[in-house]
Amino acid sequence: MHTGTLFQIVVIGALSVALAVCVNVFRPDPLPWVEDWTGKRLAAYDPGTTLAPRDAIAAWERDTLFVDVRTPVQFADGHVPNAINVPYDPFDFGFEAAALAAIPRDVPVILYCDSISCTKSKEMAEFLAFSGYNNVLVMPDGLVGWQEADGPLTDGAEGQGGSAQ
Amino acid sequence: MREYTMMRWLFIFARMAMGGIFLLAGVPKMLNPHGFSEMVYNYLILPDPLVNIVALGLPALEVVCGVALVLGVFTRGASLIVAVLMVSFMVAIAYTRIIGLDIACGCFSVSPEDAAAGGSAWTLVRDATILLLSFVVLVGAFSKGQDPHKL
Repeated sequence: MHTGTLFQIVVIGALSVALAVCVNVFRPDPLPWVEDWTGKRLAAYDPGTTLAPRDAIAAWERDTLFVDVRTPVQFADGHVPNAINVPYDPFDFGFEAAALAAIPRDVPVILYCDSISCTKSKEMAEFLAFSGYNNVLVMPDGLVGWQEADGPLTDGAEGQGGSAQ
Repeated sequence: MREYTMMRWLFIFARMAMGGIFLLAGVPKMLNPHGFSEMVYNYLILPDPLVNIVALGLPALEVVCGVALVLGVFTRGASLIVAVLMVSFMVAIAYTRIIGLDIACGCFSVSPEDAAAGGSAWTLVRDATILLLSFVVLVGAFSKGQDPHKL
């Protein structure tokens, strides 16, 4: 590479670091430079209501009902086998009635969405707890964590809308 | 008085546009590093200790490159960084599509309302267009006709 170009890249990099440090230092609410993000996300869940993917797989092997709260399109792309799809969409007027009709109260259910990035399963669990469900668990690592733990996957749209299991 | 050809004007226009795009992208993220760090984490690409460093450093890099391109200083370095950044952004967005994440893009805004844009085909098309523009800027910056007296 041309020496001048390399020099320019180094100067731009140094200026960017200086700008980033100055702006963060002088902010009223500086962002810590290092944070335990996964721990922070997990701490947002109620203790005792979450399952690690490995434990979720063990529960799945004992025929526990899984509820996929992602969109129907994502569900059709791949999901936990035998899971039902009850999309979490608080902006849909029919959502609450559909969720209460599709998710049984008398058996334990495990909710999941994409990954630890997504808050839909957590919010669905809060809605169900508010509606009187007391058998609801969440797999915060979602389908990404499930696959990383070698959990099985099915694609196709069966179980859509919570109509089949 | 220097004679400017059509190509030269095209390069200048592309450089200024690219600089403007990077300023538009960098400033909102710089103003809200807390929101942007959430989005960086949500991509699940970086290890936890790097999330905030990138969330603070990347917008600053975008702003510095944007200013450099708009002003026409250090254009070779800035255009090279911008092209590499665009390729990285596209790889990151494609990755979220492949592993099935439904997340906010964090491209131009840190508002959660931008959620639908994350990882969508439209985002990839938009970024491909900007990437193309960045190549034009790159060619312009490295072509012999570039003002030799400029840094």
